[in-house]
Amino acid sequence: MSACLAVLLLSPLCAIALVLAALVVNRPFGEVTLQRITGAAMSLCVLASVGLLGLSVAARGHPMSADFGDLIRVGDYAFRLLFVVDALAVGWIFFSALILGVVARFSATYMYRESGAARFSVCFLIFAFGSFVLETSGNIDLLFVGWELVGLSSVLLVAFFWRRPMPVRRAMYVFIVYRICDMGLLAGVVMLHHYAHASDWQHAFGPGEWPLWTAHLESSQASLLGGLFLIAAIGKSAMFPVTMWLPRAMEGPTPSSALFYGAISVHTGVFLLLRMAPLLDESLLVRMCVLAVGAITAITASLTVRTQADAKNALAFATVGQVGIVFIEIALQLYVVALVHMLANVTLRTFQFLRAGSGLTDHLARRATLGEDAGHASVPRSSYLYMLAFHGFFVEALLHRVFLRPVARTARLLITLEDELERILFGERRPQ
Amino acid sequence: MSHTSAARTGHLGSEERDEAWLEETLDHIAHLLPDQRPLEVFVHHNTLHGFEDRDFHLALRDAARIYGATTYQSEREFHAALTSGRIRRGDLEAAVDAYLEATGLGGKRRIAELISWRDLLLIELDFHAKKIAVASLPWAVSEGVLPRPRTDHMLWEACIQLARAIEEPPGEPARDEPNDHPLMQSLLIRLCAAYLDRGMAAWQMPKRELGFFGAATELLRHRSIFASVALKRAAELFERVAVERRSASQTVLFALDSLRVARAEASHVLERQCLQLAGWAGMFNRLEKNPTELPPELPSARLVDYLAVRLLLALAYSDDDIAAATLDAPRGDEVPTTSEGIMLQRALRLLFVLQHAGVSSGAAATLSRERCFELLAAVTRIDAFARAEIWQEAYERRYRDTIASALAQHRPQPVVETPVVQVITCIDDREESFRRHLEETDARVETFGAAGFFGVAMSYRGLDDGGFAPLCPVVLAPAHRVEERPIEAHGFAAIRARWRRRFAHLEKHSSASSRSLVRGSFFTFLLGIATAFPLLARILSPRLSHRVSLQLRRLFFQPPQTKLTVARDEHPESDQTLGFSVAEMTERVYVVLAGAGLKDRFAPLVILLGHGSTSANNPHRSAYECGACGGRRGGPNARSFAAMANDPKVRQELTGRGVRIPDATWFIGGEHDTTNEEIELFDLELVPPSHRAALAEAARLFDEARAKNAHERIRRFPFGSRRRTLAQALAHVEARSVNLAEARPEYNHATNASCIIGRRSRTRGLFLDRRSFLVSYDATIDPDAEHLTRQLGAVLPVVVGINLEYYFSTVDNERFGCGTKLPHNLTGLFAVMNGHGSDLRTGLWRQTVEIHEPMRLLVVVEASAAQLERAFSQLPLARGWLERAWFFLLRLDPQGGQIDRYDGKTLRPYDVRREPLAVVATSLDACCGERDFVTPKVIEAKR
Repeated sequence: MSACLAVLLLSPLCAIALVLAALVVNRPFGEVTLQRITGAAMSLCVLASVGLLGLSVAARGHPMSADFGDLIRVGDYAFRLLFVVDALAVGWIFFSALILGVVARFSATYMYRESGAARFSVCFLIFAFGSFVLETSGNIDLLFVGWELVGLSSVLLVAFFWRRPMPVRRAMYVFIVYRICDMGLLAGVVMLHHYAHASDWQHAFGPGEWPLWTAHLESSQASLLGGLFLIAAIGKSAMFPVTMWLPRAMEGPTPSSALFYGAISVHTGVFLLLRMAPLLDESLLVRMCVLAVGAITAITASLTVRTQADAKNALAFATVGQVGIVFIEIALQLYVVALVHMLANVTLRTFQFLRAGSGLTDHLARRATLGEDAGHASVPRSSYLYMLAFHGFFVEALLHRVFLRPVARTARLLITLEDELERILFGERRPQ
Repeated sequence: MSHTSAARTGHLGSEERDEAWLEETLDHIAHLLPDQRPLEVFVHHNTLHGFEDRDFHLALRDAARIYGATTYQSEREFHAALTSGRIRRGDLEAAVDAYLEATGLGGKRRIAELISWRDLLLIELDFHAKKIAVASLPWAVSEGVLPRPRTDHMLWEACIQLARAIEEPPGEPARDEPNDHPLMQSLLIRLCAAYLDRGMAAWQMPKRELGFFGAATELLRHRSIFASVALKRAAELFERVAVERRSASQTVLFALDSLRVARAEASHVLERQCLQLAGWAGMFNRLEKNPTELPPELPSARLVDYLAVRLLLALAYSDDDIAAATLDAPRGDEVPTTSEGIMLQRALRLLFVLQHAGVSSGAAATLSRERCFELLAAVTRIDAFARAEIWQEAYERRYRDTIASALAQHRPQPVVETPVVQVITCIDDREESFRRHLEETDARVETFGAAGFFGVAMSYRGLDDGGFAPLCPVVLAPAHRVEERPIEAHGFAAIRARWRRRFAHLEKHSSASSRSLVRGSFFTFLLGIATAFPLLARILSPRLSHRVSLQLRRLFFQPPQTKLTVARDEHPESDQTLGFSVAEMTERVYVVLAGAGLKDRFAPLVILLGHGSTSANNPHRSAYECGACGGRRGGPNARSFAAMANDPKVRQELTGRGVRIPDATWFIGGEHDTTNEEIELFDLELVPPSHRAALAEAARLFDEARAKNAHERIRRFPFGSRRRTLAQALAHVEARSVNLAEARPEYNHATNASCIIGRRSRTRGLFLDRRSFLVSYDATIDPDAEHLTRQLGAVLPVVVGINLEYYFSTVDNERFGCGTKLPHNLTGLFAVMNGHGSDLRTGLWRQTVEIHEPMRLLVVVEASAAQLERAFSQLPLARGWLERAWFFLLRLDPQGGQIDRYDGKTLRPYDVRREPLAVVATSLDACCGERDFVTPKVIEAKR
């Protein structure tokens, strides 16, 4: 168990170190070497995930844990390197390793001769490492580390083509949404420590196994924690009201879109909610919120997708629509159904993203056989509904009105105040 | 634009006059927009088609200004070519001399009595290639880095004094072009995509029957309390326009007035508005001018509609409170230029000139102002474009000399006396190597090149096709229909057709429902995990999984035997457009055979090969296929041609026109796949038994030649060169054609550089490195230049279009090409954008031009002077291009090695600088182990 885990986590880490070291000493690897390193690391990860799957089956799905001691200890607080592989984690680990492996193979061919191949490799490996840490984490602190690494590498890959203004602008958009929603996770981490005096699942949620844990928290505490984690999950999974970051993130190369937005990254929020299932069990309020968010997203996304006239945006909304349904399943406490649905969605969307360029060929083949029956576009019954879906139900305008503008106004006010104060205290500002 | 603004400057003309002005302005703008078709049919064309009325270099200068683009390779790249020996010093000097002659600056006259123009030019070329960043000059000077070590400091000081004393005339002030509001742009892009969509979205945009302006108005006039301020303003504007029943052009005028555009500025503003998202504007313009390319459900697409929507949105977003985010991306490695830097650069250029002239520092200090001015004026005259022009000429001269020298020295090969098989392929540059390998494999093989539709312009419907599609060059409108029909219409063929329809329905529903809500959940839940199998198989082992699926398809969907409806008299039931009459067939066969110089001397087997290309996951797939078949596969044309040429009635008629096909000759049509090197021959069951042995022999020949061809091709590919054996090479190209991750299934027309029109005997046994379009033409049997005129008229627009599109996509891949393929996002089934939303990306992608050398096409015609002049006198379009130097033409004398240069007006002997011509045993020896370009070599035929 520990060996498999070590291989899973250390092989991407070592690969990152190797590539970065080569960059630091200004002797960057050639493309072929770079791909071999990435390929080797990902192959090891797939092997390790198979090993973990085997061990987990042998252990009949009971959680297996590995404790690598404390990283830091400050007073009562200890940052423990505690990893747990249980029924929830093992399937996800296996699928994500498999998909990361496939995407690594895909990008080896796809990214050839692209400037920034080393950058892509490093981001890819950071992403792999982050998602494995997140999936195997035995406590909330490690989960947070993985979560942030996944977010960071996603944003960097959205801005992969940084010489054009649009990718940078859109990466910034994604980054801001991530940062705001990550505050939920950060607050959740702090509050969990505060309420449960522990950060690992066993102590925080009491004895038992996923998904049959029971949290020893009061309902109000569980509601608060659940709400905070829900905010984090909404951000990462592009749920209502921040769905619009997902299509904006389509600026990177196709494999990264597949990996992040079709597959692993966007489902990380689901994983978080599943991990926090004991909290949800305790709080009807949070479950209602999850249900509402999931339902709104599923409906709006599945209507919006009908107005999308391009491959990648359509896929983004299709993915997120299914994630909305997974949210509903979670709210109904159908955790195993949700898990299977999530894995199915991950696989399907990865495949669809990777072959996003085939749309025209598929269409021509279809038209060749079916003639005029081939086009399946219909005229919407209500042009008003079309208009709403076309504008994404004005969610962005709404967010802008109720959130961004007040924040911006406050900030502007504070700036004015500070300027005034400075003027009063120090006289006129010198021209710079 | 002066003529357009003239109509506008008059004080507020009547409404009609304004609309006439608008129409005129849009006509002018239309020339500046990209003219790419919907992706289904990708046809190469000159990217700067709107500038063809100018001389090449002038056009490049103008285009650079209008588009803000680069139109030549950078001076650094040219200099690298000089260093690597790609350009020789002599080429550069010759180019300088030619430039001086053309501009009238030559002669002994010395500028400011110091230096000749020739020396000045050479110094300047050298100076700029070194690429000293202007911004770093002050620093370099203050640190004493620069003029050392060989300058005396006094001279440098004197130069700075001189440079400082001279004030440069102020340049044109840069106009501050406002950029689109990002939200407005995103909205506009989504509107356009939704309107032009050909079946990507599940919902059609409502009210498309009203045209773009009407549909957009209907959509945007809806009010919603949730909408942003700008959208609400847009709703008001569109509502107002709708209520006042303004037309699109009235709306444009109204918006211009509301935006407070000054009258004199209006043309310029409209031009800028169109060029901001040139790809989208270009698509509207393209569809407006070519309504046949509109999908059936779309009534119209008009540039003025687009402009009306665009301007109203610009108005609505013009004072939006969301300030355009200040997040500007870094702009490459541009460095701001400082006036100090410019002054120092001037000083440095003076320094080089004075050094060259041997002026001492003392003399420099007393240099008169007038002489300084003269010197600097001369230096200013040689701007970046003039330098690039010289470099480009030198770059092309080198290739021209190499080809001319090879053709002049190459001994014409004796005609094959008794050919066993004759193969006619497309003129495509990719077939050059294939033909060479065929001939190398067996010396008794003869090959010909003819435009790949083989004269058969038709509207074709294959067995599994939904409708008819034109298979001919896009300039022709096919008047004949040909259908592929099963020989037995009932029984197996009908069952097969039924099952194919069922499968297609299933596929259609699954792809649609994977995006919907309820059905999608079940679909995802049930089939999601199962997609892991195709996902793993297609990415980890593309070739194997392709073979398995092919076998399965063969097992269940084995196509029945079919026949083409070529001969009209066999189908009395149909109308006059189905098939061809005997006279029509005779004409087509005659044109191709006689045009290629094939009148008698037929081999027992004549095989025609059309071509196509297989690639996976590639929206630009059509670009790789046969241009002469309108971006489609050319197999059916070859098959039809063979059926015509085998028709006894046609043969009888042909005898009367001097083409005698013996009874012992049989024609076979086929198709060559230029990506995976597969060759498919059609109607083999019709081959008479007497020809079976010859056919088996030909099949063996093809097998060997295609493997060798694959081997020659893979040296260019990443990862390709490591493979060694022929079988491995073949497996490699096969894998490329089916790999989802492959951004370079093949290199398409990249590296194309010349077109040789003449007898094969002049080029047979010459290794041309897949860079030449080869057209078969025999001048000795064409006294009236009738065939030559036809050949040039058909071939030149195609090859020059291909060549120029490659040129521009290479020199500025972001502006003229579509950039890297990696973030491409297929939009509406007609074009690609970058990522979430951007301008439509037109032109060629970086992955296909990365090995291209941007050069104008060199056309070599083997014909007499009289024939050439006669032919061009009937081809005003091609002659115009030639006169304005959009391509080069050399004449190769049919009787000997004499080579002339023809510029559309005069014929002058071309001074061929002979280069040694290496001799090798086989083509594989010629290029083995070499990844880069290979100069022409002679392949000594096996004895």
